[in-house]
Amino acid sequence: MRHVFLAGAAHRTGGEGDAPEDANRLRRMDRFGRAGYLAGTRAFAAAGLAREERPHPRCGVIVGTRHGCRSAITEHAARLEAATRVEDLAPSVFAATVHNTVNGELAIALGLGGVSEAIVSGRTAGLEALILGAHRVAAGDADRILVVAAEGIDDAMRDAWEEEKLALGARAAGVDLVETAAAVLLEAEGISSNGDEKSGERIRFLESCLFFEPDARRAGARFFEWMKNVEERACGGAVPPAVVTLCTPEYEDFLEGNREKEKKRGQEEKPRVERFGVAGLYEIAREVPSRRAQTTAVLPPQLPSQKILDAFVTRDMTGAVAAVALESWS
Amino acid sequence: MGARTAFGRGVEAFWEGALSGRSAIRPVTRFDTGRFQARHAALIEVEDERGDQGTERETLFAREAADEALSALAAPAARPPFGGARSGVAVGTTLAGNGPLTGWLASRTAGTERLSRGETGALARDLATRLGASGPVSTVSVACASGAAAVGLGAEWIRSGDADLVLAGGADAISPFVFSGFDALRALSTTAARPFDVLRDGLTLGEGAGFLLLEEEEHARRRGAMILARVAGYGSASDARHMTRPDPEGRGLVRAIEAALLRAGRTASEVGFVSAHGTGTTFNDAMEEAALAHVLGALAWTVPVNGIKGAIGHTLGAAGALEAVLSVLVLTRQLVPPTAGHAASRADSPLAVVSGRRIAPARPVTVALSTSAAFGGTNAALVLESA
Repeated sequence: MRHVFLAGAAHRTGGEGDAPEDANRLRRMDRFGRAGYLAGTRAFAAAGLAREERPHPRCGVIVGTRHGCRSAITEHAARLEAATRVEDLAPSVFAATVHNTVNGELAIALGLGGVSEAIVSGRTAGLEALILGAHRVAAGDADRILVVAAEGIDDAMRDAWEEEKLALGARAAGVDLVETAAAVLLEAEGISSNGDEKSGERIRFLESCLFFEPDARRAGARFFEWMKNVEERACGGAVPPAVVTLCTPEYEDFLEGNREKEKKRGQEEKPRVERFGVAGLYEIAREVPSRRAQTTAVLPPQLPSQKILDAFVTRDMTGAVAAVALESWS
Repeated sequence: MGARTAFGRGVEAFWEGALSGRSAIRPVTRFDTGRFQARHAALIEVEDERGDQGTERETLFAREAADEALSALAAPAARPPFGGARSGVAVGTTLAGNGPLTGWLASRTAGTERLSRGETGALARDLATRLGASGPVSTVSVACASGAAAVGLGAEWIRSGDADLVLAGGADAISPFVFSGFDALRALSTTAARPFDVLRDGLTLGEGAGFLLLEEEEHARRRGAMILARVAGYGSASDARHMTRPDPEGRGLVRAIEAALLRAGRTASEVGFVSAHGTGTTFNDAMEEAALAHVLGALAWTVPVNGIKGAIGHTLGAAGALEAVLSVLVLTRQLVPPTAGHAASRADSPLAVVSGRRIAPARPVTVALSTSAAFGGTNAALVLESA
């Protein structure tokens, strides 16, 4: 199996920084499509890559989302409700009611002719996409995979969220939806996009776990058991314990102990927002650039045995857990 | 394996229907098609339209097919030990969750539906909860290639050591929402789908579910399981060309097939049967003819091809899974069903589409290829081989 590296990352919240040069292409997408497309193209550029002349069979795209093309579904449903004949419908809107629209748009724009998959689960979707992408690259199915997570937030979803919050009770009061997208470019070892291989500033995908455990206490136990094994295998106990980033909103009661540890360490308190399936990949996309700089500053490349180990874990309210461990690499 | 189709309950009903060359496509009576150009589909008759306690149709279909996959082939004592941390569920679907969502959108009745009711991923979690699976549980949704992609995802979990057993497959139900959309795209036949036929005029929608129980090989051998076939390779690829119109030369599908064959360690010359995507639209079938001609070369004319969508309609997210079930049946029974609706291919078609009646292949089928293509330019291919 090949090593897999994170070569570029980008994230986007709300409607910030929409690129006007993409206006024609963006017009045919719904909010989910636009968010994912913009994050994906930015991560691709951040890795120093340019569009392939022809679709590249070794470059792919994997997308994770909880709600996917829900905005397009909402629009088609509204048109159908009002239609008296089929001509009243908009074929282009229906064509956008598939969850792999981001895959298709990014494949066209960036020449990604290889692997194309879309995970549509819960809050774990972004990390699931990352895990699947890393597996595909490690196994040799692709040399590069652009992993994207996106959610588009429209008025109908905000209305539904208000209902959801009522059911969640006081813990969810004040938690807002934030339209978010994030993307990370994965590369196989030996496929260097921006010279990181020479400089030694690399983040390697190390291990992952994915399971479905509705009982929060048992889910926490399974996660910590996995984390313990990762630390032992990766570091042999010779380095400080891993940093665990919990990518769930505060109304979740998962890994409460870890949240306390984060506070003691003085880590920045997370805003009370819900990013659905983007949650985990968003944290990684935020961390990767700063971690690369930190790795360079703290760990000289001549000390390859010392590593910073990061774990990111997401749990969905329904019980799905996805976690990945990343490490610095030189 | 398990199947729920318009032919009835179970894999045997599916197989007998396919072998007969009949079509389960009928005029739609479940909802009003008065606004639409098309009038036909291959729908499943369910006693209670919303099932028990409001369960969605696709969930009912999936539960039936999943239960069959876990129980049909073995006496109770020999049934697979499904459940627990080493068992997973991989579901492919395009529309699961659409019913509650569109219902909520229509009424906006506060408190009656919530955000999670319209979740595509709810179906996989329903199956996992019912069956006690607490390993990896997920949903893949790449439009009409979803079923094949779910089998590919399940196989990956086993290969990577994340699970020993994975229930993998797909399910979808037809509603006015999807019927209207395909009709607006002018993709539906006004009569019935005729895959690869010279007079084909569009696809016909269908509904159902198909599931396969995937098991790590050593795990299966240790417990003395009856192994039906091996998922030898999975490949996916993008056209990277157009969101809805397939590449006329089928280059994306070629890449997916070549990736699946490479992973399987097989060559195109070993393929003895093709379960084609075969929607019956002008563009898809021409694309697929070009892709298969490219991959199979001069042998294309000797490899029997079936397009099951002429019989059970295009079952969307279930299609790739049901076509994998069909491929396993061909491998184990050495018969190839005819393509319902197909009478004659165009004169220069490179494919040997089985037409009229079933055949016993001239050479034993040990490697089967199943292809899928989808909106968004996503293609998928599965290579299955005899155990």
